[in-house]
Amino acid sequence: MSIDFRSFGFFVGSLAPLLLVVFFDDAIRSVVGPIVWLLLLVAAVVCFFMCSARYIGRLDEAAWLAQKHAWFWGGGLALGGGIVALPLLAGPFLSLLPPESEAQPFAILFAGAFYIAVCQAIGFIIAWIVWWARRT
Amino acid sequence: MGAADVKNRIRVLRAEKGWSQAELAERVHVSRNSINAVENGKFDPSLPLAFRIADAFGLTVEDVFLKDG
Repeated sequence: MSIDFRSFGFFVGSLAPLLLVVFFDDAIRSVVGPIVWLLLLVAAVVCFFMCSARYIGRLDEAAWLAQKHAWFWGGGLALGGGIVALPLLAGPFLSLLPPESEAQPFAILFAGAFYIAVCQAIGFIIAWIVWWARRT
Repeated sequence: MGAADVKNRIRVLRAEKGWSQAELAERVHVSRNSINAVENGKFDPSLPLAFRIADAFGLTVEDVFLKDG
């Protein structure tokens, strides 16, 4: 199995700005203000979806099937497993929250969404590697 | 019909043409991984891809892909 570094770089390059704007929201907001931060967030989301659409559009049929398999089995099972294992694995994600007295509903929601996203990403990557490993 | 039900002659035909998997992949507009999977019988190509592979060799689909058994 050979890795398509161009696609990998393309995906990371589109995801990085989005993560940057979301994770460093306080720092960015304090410099440019909330309106510009919101515009940056919208731009990062649009960039991510445009890059993702282009990436998906370039896939051939085997790679497309690998994506479907990985999302269904990897993403799906990891989602279920992640929810079941929530009490065991939630610790590191809860540490992302500010001190309890300052915790806002958005921060709690964000930590939960991030936990699910990480679970699904791990499941996806494992299933994707297994699919290709069995066929090359 | 599963992947084991279809055989193909891609490896032999490639050797006759002196093409690498990457070269064939480029000619039919898929990745080398996909050609490798098809060639090893681990992935059944769609009909359009089967036609493109056959066209690349200047053959018919039946000349490249065979029913196993």
